[in-house]
Amino acid sequence: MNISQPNLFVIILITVAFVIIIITTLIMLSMIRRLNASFAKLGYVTREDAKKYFGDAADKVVDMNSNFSQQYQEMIDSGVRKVLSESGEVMAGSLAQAQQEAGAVILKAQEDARQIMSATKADAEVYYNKALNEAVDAVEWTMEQYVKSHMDVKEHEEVIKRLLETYINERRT
Amino acid sequence: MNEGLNTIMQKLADCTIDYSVNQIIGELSLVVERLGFAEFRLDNPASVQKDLETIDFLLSRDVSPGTVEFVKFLAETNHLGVVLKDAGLMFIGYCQAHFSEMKQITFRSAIEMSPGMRRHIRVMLMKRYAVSTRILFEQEPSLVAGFCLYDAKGIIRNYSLREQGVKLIDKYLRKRLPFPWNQTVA
Repeated sequence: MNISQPNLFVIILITVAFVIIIITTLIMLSMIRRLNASFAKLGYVTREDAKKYFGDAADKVVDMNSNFSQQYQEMIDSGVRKVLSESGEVMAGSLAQAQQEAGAVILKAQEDARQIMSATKADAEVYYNKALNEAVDAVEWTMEQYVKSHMDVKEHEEVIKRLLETYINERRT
Repeated sequence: MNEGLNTIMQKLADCTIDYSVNQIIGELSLVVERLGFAEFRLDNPASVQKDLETIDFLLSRDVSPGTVEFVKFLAETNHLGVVLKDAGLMFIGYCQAHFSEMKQITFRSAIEMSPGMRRHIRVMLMKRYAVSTRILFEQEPSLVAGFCLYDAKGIIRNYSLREQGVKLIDKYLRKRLPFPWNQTVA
């Protein structure tokens, strides 16, 4: 029977340990449940806060966007008006300058054209006169050869007499 | 005296009718100089023939026939003293004054004018110019035919065939050739 004494003590110890473990487990389960609830609540609150925060932020963004859009629209309108106004002045200046430049270009073109025409005309006249002189020279040479070979002294003198009468009568009239 | 001088000047004008005033003055100066260097003397009026020979010898190579004829005329009429020594210098001065007052016209023609033709031309031109006008004749073959009249200022009238022919040819070609500015040409 000596053997049964220690066994009882072990059994008692094991039982106490078992009870303690069970109790600890229950407590931990309870704590976990409560922690879960706390987390859930915390998550909810967090979500709600986040919602609220982001909702406000979104509203602000929308407002800001709305304001910005309005300001932007005003800026655009103002800018456009300014640009249009300035562009009007710029355009007016540019147009005036362009007109002047165009006028100068036109004048230059006219002058160039005139010079080209003059040069062309001068060249043409030079060539024309050259051709004319050559033609005159040719006819003159032929005429001279003919006169020298076919006109005798008597005929020369008759020509001179007629021309002399023409000259005298011309001077009288 | 004046009558004698007029006769001399008339003879000079006749003998040098075709010479320019410059030629006349130049040749008379040469005559005075040449006779002066030769110490030409009028010692013996009876030896006119010898004087004429001497004049020919001294002048005929360098002086034109008309001037030689005039000097011979002076020798024949016993007026050679006009062109000797100081009288000669005075005579040249007188001639310069005399001829410088005359108008001079040059008649240029393509051929040489015969003496008859020259007379005819002179007569014709006297209708327009003073009788004292000197009319000189020159030949210029480049005129082809007809004549040109010049005075001291330049050409008076151009009736040469060259001038008239060139004008007519120019006029004809300008009318025929299609250049716009031809219309502005008269």
